[in-house]
Amino acid sequence: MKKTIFIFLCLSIFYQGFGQKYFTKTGTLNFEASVPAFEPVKAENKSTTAILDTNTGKIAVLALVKGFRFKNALMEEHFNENYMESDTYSKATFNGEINHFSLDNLSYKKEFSVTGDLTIHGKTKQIEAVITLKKDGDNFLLETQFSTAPGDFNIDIPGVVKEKISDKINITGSFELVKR
Amino acid sequence: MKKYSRVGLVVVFILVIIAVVGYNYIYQDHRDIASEKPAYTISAEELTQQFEADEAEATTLYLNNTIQLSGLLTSIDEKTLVLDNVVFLVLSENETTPNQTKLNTKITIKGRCIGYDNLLGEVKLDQAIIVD
Repeated sequence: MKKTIFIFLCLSIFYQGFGQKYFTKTGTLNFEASVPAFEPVKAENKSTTAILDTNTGKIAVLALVKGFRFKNALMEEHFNENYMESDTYSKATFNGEINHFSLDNLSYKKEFSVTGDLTIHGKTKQIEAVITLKKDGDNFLLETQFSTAPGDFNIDIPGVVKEKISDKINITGSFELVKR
Repeated sequence: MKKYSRVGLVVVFILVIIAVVGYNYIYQDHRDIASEKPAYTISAEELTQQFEADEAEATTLYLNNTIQLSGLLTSIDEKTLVLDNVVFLVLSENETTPNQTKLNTKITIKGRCIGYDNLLGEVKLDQAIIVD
């Protein structure tokens, strides 16, 4: 009997350690590389997956590149075919960890720094970004804003359009994470 | 004088045509998945199995293609559906989300495959419309 209780306890601790995952499939990811006076270069992906492990502070984000929608259809085509080559590199991912993660004081938006690997266009780069986290009832609201450069991910922007596309790309994300 | 104005007229006419063609090229319409004939018709489970077995091959085959899927509706959310727990669909903007009473009923749906989510083991489709 004692043994069963012990196993049960071990199992529940095991579950505590690995089971606290919060996720979303409908996270929003926006990027903008607009230059003033030219047509806005921006797109939105409303089906981004994000997972947060609230025991370890580990974060995984996955956006399917074809899921980025532009207002301008031709821009969307160029984004997929010429720049992101989404037939070959269909995913953009982030795998990282929240630094000094704790679940304390999350009733208001709290800032954390996150370090991890951002993979776009088949190339991985380590980045550091700031996120805000807030506990919203049973859910967590995770938001982020950071910028990156096409050159860091081997994305060539030809001379003809260079002045119309900013070399600093702003990325914003918003994820409402529910318990898995 | 008269000859010049005729030449001028032709030049203006050509410029207008170039402008119209150019405008229509730059501001062309998005693909209309709803009116496209499906390139593949398959069950939701089989589609996901193919991605699990060989993601690269399935991606070459299905990515960006219009696919007609059938399966059980296992989740209904605001603008999103899940078929057989393995295919995630984002409904087209004009499509109304089915009522919760449709949960666990069979459905046929058409959408564009945008890839495989290996974090959750789901194939994702967008611009989906309900066929039946």
